[in-house]
Amino acid sequence: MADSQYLLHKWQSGMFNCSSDGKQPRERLDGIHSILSQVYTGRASKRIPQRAWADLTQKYMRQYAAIVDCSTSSGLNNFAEGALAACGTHAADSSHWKSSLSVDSIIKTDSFTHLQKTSQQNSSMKKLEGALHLLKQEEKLPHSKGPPLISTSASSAKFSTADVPLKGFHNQINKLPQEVHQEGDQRQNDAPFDVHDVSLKEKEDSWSQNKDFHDGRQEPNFQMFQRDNSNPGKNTSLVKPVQFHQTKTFPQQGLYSRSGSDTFSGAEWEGRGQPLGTGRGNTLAGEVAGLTRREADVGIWRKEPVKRKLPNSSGTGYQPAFQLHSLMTRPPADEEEKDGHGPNVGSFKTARQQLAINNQTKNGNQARNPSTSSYGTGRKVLGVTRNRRGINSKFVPPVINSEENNQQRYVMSLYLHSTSSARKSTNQVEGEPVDERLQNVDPKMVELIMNEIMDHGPPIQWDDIAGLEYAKKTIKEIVVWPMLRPDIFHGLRGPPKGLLLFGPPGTGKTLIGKCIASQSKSTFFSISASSLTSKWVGEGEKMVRALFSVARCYQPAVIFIDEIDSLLSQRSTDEHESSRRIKTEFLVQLDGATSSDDDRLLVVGATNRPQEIDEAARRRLVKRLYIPLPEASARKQIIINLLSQQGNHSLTEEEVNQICERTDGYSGADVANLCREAALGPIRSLHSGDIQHISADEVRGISYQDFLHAVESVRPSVSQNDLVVYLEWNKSYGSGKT
Amino acid sequence: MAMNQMEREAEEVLEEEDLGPLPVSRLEAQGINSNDVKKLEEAGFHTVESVAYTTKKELCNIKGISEAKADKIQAECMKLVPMGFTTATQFHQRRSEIIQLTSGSKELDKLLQGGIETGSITEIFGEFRTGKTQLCHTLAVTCQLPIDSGGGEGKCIYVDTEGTFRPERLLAVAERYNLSGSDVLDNVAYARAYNSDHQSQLLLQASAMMAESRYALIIIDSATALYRTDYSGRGELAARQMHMARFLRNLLRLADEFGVAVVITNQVVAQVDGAAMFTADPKKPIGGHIMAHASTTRLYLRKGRGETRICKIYDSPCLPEAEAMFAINADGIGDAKD
Repeated sequence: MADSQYLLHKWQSGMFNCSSDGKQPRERLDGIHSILSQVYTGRASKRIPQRAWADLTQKYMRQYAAIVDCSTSSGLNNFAEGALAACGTHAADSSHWKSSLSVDSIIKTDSFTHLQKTSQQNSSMKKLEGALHLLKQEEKLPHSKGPPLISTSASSAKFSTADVPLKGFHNQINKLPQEVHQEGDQRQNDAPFDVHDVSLKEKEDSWSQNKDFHDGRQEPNFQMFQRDNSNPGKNTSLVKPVQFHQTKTFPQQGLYSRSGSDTFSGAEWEGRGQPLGTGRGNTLAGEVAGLTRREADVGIWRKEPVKRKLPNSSGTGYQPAFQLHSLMTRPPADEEEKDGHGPNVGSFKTARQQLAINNQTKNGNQARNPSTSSYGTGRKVLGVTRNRRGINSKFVPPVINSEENNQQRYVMSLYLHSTSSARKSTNQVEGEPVDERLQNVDPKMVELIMNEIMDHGPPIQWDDIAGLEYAKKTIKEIVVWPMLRPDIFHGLRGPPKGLLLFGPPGTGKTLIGKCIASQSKSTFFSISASSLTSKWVGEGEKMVRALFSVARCYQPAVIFIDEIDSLLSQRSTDEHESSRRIKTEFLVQLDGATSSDDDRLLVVGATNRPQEIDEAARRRLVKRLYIPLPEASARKQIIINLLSQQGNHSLTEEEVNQICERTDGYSGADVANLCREAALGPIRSLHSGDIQHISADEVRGISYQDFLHAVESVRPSVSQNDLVVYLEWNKSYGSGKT
Repeated sequence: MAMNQMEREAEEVLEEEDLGPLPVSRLEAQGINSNDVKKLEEAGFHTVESVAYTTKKELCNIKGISEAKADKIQAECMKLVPMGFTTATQFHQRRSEIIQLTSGSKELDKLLQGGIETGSITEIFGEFRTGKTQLCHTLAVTCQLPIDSGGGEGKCIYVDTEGTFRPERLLAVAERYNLSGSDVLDNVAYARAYNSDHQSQLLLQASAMMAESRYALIIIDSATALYRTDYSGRGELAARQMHMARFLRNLLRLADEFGVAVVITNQVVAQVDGAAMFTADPKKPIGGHIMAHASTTRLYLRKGRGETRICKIYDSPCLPEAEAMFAINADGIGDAKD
C-alpha cells in the first residue's frame, strides 16, 4: 500500500507543479516529467489501459511543448529567440498591413486634445503642428522605411538610411518642452493600468501621452502588442516609447550632435524587441524582481525598459545613463573610416580621440558664431593626413625633441618589426618636405644612404694637418667660406662642385676629408665603392641617384669618395657594363641635366692614381689639388705633435731637426710609422721579464737613439720615380702650385 | 608553465631577431594551406602561439577545420613554439631579463622588486579613492618609456568599464617624463565596455590589434564592476563566475602570447556579518576564488593620510608580504613626501 501511496503522492506533486501558474517553467517541466514517467511505468506494467495512456501522453507532451517552445522568453528551448526578436519588431508581416493608428485617430483622442490646449500656452504649439505635418508627410511614405530601423545590427549606416525622412522632425521633437512629457507622465500616474487587461486603446493613450510622433516607430510597437494579445496574461508591458526629450543628455556625450536621436531611438527599439514580447513580470506593480535568468541573458540594456515602467516621479529624469552611453559613444562613421575599423559599438579608439571627444562635450554643443579667429586654428585637415595615427598604427616612442625625434624614431623603427614597418616609419622620419623629392627613390636605398652619413668621428682641427698650406687654404675657400657668406659666394663666385685630391699614398688626403667632415658643418657622406655596388643589375646606378638625391635634400652636403679611381676609371670598351653605368650615372649627377647651380653639393675625391680617372670626371672635379710629400717643416710638426701626445721624450729641438733631415722623402704616414717604431724602443730595452710588472710611468722616455734605430728600419714608401707621374699630371691638369 | 612559455618565446625572439609573437602567416611556410590560415585568423587566432596554446577541441570548433587538419596545424605550431621542459637555470636567467614596468613611485617599485611584471596578471584592488585608476593612468604612460627607464616601449590598451578614463591625466604624466603628449595619447588604445559580454568581446579585438603592433600593457579598469550588476543573486552566481573565469583565462592567454603586462582593478565588498567584525579592515575583493586564482599578483591599496596611499602585497608567488607608501600627485603616482 505504501507503494501506491507513494505513487499517488508523486502524481499529485507532479500535477501540482505542472499546473500552477506561479511556478517557474523548469519546475513545471519537472512536474510534467514526473507525470509522464509515471504514465510510462504504468504502461509498461500494464496497469493503465492503452487508450488512457495514449491520451495522457499526448496531453502532457502538448503541455510540455507549449512550455518549452513558447515564443516568450519563458520558453526554455527558445532557439528561435533571436529570430523571433528580430521578427517581432518588424512590421513585415504583410506589406498590406497598415497601422490603424493614424494621425487622425491620434488627434481624435482626448489626451491629445488636452495636450493641445495646454501646449497652446507654450510656443511649442507650432512645433507640434510642424511635427504633425511632417508626420502626415511621413504617413505617405512607404512603410518599408520602418523596418530597417529595427534591424538588430547596430551599424550607424543603417540608421542613417532610414532616418533621412525622419530627421527633419526629430530635431523639432527634440525641442519639445519638458512639460509635454511630464504631462504624459502625470497622466500615466493618474491612471494606473490593470496589467492583465491591456487594450489597444489604452496603449494608444499611453503613446500619445508621450508624444511619440514617429509613425514608423510606432508601428512595430503597436504590432507587438497586437501579436501578444493572443497570449493572454503574458503581455503586460507598457513601455514608454523613446523619450526623445531626453536629448539634453546627448550633448554631454557629444558624438551624436547630428544623428543622436536617430540612433538612440533606433537602438532602443532593438533593445525593447525582447521585453515587449516577453512580458513576464513586466508589470507596473514592480514585478521587476521577477526577472529570470533568461532576461538577464538578454542583456542589460534590454532590462532597462522594465525598470522604467515603475511609476517614478523622477522617471522623466531617469534615463539609464549607460544605455545612452552605449548608443552615444559609437564612433561616427568618418572617424571609423580613418581608423579602418568597421562601425562597432565601443570599438577601440586612441586616447587622443577620446580626449577630443571629451573636450568637445565639455565645451558643449552650443552653437558658437564662427568668427574669423576660429578658422584655420584647428589642427584638423580635410581628408586623411598621412600622419594621422589610429589605433592600428605602430608604437611611436613619445620623445619630444624633434631632431632627436627623427633619429630616435628611425632607430626604433629599425629595432622594431619587419622591414615593412621600418620602411613606413622611415618615411615618417624624412619629414614632410623631403619626402616628395625622395619619392622616386627606393626607401631601402635611402636607409642605406642614411647609414653612411658620418656621425662625426673624432673631431680634427685644421692644425692637426701638418703642412699643405696651399691645399688647406684652397679647401677653406671652397668649403668653409661659402657657408659663412652665401650672399657673396654665389653666381660666378659660387663654390665648385668637385674637388680632387691626388698625390702619393700616405700624405693626408683622407685626413683632409675627415677634417672637412668635422669642420664644415654640413652633412658629410663618406662613400666607397662597396656602398654603391650591388649584385642586382641596375642597383648600382640607382644607389648613385639615391645618394645624390639624399645629399640634395640635406644641403649643404659634402660627399667624400675615397679611392675614387676605382669608381671613375677610364671608360673602356671591355669593362663590365654595370660599372660603366655607375660611372655614367655619376657623371650625370655631378653635373648633368638635372643638377642645378644652386645645389650646395660638393664631391671630394681622393686618389693615388689621377691618371686613371676618366676625362669626363676630370673635368667635373674642378679643383684638382696635388697633395705632396711633407716638407721638412711639416715633418717636424708631425713628429712634435706625435711625441707630445705620447708623453715623455728626451729630444731637443736640434735632434728633431736632425731627424727631419734624415727623413727626407718620407711621407706623412712614414713619419708616423717612424715615431711608432721609436716609441717601441724603450719597451724593447726592458728585460722581457719586467714587462709584466713594470708600471706605465716607469717606462723611460723616447730618446734620440730610439729614433736613429727606427730610421734604419722604417724606409720611405714612395720613391722619387713615382713622384714624377704626379708632378706631370699636376702640371697638365692640376690647379695651383704644389 | 605559462611563464615558461613566455620566457621561451622571448628568448627565441631574441635569437631570431623576430620581436614579438610569430604571426599566424608563418604557418604558411610550414605547409599549411593559406585558406586554413585565413580561417584561423578570422576565428581570432592571430599568432602561432595562440594556436599552439589552445586545445584541439577549440580548433575543431572553427568552421572548416577538420580534426585531421587541426592535428596537423597543431603539430606544426608545436614545432615553432617551444612547449616543453627547460631547466630552472635557463628559466631563472630568462626571468632575470623580464621587463618590468615602473609604476611611477620608487617605493612601490621597490616593493614589487622592479615594477609590474609583464607576462602575468596583476590585480589591484581597494575601496574607492585609493588610487587604482590613477595608478592605471600612470602605467599607461610609463609603459611607453624606453626599457632602460623602466618602461616597456610599447602601446597600451585601456578598457574602461566605469567611465573614469581621463586623457588629461595621461598628458600630465607625459609631461612629467618629458614625453610628447600627442604621441603618448596616440599610443593608448581606449575602449569603453558597457556590459560583461562586451568586455569579453573587446578582448578579441584587442588580440587582433596586438598582433599588428607592439603592445606592452593591457589595463582593465575595472574587471569586475560590470559583473556585479550584470549578474545578480545567488542563482546567477555560477554563470557569473564562469563568465569571469573565461574572461580571465583570455587575459592570461594574451599575457602569454604577447608577453604584455595585464593590470586589472577590482572592487571590494564589505563584510557585514559578525565574522568580520573583529578584523581590522573588513573588506575583501570581489570575484571569489576565480579572481583570486587567476591573478598572479594582488595588490591591496588603502588610503593613508592626505594624498598618500598604502599598498600592500596581498598575494604573490615570489614577493613577501610588505607595504609601501606612495602618493597621488598632479602628475600621476609618485613617492610620498614626508
